Amino acid sequence: MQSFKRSAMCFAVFLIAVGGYFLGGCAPEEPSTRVETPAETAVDLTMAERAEPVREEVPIPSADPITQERTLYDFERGNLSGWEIPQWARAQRDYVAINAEVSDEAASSGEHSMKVSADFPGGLWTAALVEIQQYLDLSAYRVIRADVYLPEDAPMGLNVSLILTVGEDWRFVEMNRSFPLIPGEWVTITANIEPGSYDWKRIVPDEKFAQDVRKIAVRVESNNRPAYTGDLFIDNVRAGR
Amino acid sequence: MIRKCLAVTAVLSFVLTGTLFAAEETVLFSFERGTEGWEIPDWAYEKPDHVQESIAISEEFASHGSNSLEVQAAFPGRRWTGAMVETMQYFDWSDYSELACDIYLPADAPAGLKGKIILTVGDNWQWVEMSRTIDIVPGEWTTLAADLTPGSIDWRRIQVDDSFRADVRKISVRVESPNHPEYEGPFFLDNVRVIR
Repeated sequence: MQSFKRSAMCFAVFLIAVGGYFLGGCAPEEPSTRVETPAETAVDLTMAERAEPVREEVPIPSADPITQERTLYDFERGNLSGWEIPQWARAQRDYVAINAEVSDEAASSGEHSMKVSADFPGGLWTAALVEIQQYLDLSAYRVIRADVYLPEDAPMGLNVSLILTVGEDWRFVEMNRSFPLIPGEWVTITANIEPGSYDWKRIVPDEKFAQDVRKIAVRVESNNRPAYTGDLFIDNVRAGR
Repeated sequence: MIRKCLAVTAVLSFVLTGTLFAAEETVLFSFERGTEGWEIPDWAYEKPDHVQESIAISEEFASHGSNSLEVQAAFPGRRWTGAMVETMQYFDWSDYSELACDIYLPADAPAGLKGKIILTVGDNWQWVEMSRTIDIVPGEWTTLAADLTPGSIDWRRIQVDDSFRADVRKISVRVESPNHPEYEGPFFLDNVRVIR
């Protein structure tokens, strides 16, 4: 009797299993209303990430106008406040700055500027460079600016740019363009120091770039021409935002 | 009579003008009555890169009054070394815009030594160095000066606001030899002052 009962139960289980298989297979597929668990979502995202290249956020410098400026160096105190022709430049033949001093002959701010005497021979690339070593956190600003003046009797063809030294490894960062100097006029050089700026050669600034500026240099260049022996003036080195 | 009046007016103007200009600066330390609380900090004696040896009052050189603080140091060269003196005192310089002091290096000393002021400020006793060093010219008084006003760029690793100058707790002066030169001898500190 017991064996009969066991056989009947087994048959019933078999019938349910077979019926379930056929009924499930023929039923129309319903849209899933199941909520995905976080683990399942994570697996899906990982697969999606594998399928597409990772996109990095590239910061874009603001296009808003500069409305506020702070003068960093205007040479009104009767000294150069640390600006100098660096020793390494004095030792190089293609660096031709001879002397730097405070002058009242020209000024774009106040009554004084830094006068740099130089001797560009022409016929080869030469430059006059002056710099200041100072630890600066300029992260509150968007641009660095400086005014440069070439006397009226100087020739056309000289160009000027800014160079920064930044970060723990004292990285030398040049602007990726230079500004033509116009004899008899003050020319303003502007370099954007915001994250994502395109103003610098071989580097796109990140958040840390402006936080740790260690040197600011102004370089006036003669690229084969012109030849010029005389003075140029730098004034009102400033930060803007 | 008119001459007398003119003379009196001229004298008064001169005195008033002098008083006004004198009020622009407040001398904090001129070492006329001893070291006035300046000392070599204990920790600096223990550091091999700090090479100050002793301090004393000197009548040899002065940029204000007739005395200065003479600091004996022995810079070995070939590595960075500094000689430091300081004083601990609470200051509120909210009414002032600049801090300055004068350093004298004897004429026979080598060129290349540099100086800077270091402040300790605020409740957390934050150590704040000047953001640049100033070349000390042998045979001349060299002024170390730094802007105290909000937004000043003269201080390193700090955004200077009004609270900065309102709670100064130490003034330190450090003369440095950044690898060179080698120099064994004195330098003189005088006329530590704040300027409106």
